[in-house]
Amino acid sequence: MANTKLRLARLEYLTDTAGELALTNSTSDKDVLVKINDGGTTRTAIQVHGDEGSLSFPRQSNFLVYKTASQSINTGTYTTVVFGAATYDVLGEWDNANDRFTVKDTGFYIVSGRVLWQNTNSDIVYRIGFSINGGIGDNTVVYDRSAFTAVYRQQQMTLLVYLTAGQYVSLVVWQNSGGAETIYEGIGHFAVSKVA
Amino acid sequence: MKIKEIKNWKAIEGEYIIVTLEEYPHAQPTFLLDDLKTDGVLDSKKLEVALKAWEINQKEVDAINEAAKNTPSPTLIDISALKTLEGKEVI
Repeated sequence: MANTKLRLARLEYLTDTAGELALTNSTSDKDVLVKINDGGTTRTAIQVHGDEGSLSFPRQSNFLVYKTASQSINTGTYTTVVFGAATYDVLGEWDNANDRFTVKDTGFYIVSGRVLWQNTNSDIVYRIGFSINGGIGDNTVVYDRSAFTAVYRQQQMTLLVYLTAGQYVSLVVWQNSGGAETIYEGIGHFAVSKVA
Repeated sequence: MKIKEIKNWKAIEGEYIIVTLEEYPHAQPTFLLDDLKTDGVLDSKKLEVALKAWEINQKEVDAINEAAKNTPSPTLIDISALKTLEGKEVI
């Protein structure tokens, strides 16, 4: 214990009464912060907001990117959807050059994606899905066979997935019209959030 | 064009293969296995022919996408003449 230091700054008391363990900051409207040092930088891992009592995880993996340019999709081809710069990317996990999200920490992640197809045809299969480490599986893909032509056709997918550190995820689309089809630049996103 | 990996994929409409190519990490062509058969047997020559045809289309698509990426976003119209109404009541 000689080298172990527990610094209790602004901490009022730690109690264990009647089976209740409480870490309490009784100073009005002050947050409780749980910080960690990675060997160089001190980071706040958990924040308990004094005003509402709500929890934040400021270093939890969270990422969002929007589609900024239209994209032509070859027939019968799982194609990685191209995005612009990330709107937010807490841990710097987005690779803009390869349009992939590489997780830094192992855990459960919610991933969601959305595209808008333009001028779609009838009796064509449209798919949206997530490619994990370049692989595509039935459970990571949405199947949609169009019954009619449409000026716009939206597809979206959300998935809870367990990812290990170093694995990467891309949003992919597929269609089998026999020619190229287009996804629109104005509507489309890819988001990832670590939930556990 | 170098084939890196070929995998099976059983979809609702039939069984496919997914091909990963060294030169196209962003685009993986898929082919129905039934389309790659000759007299009921898988024919590697048919896959080569299909891949060459696919590459021609993919190059066209990539050129379109590159051009779209380099097209600047349209500038939004100046709406300051309308914003003078902000805070006013419309009767």
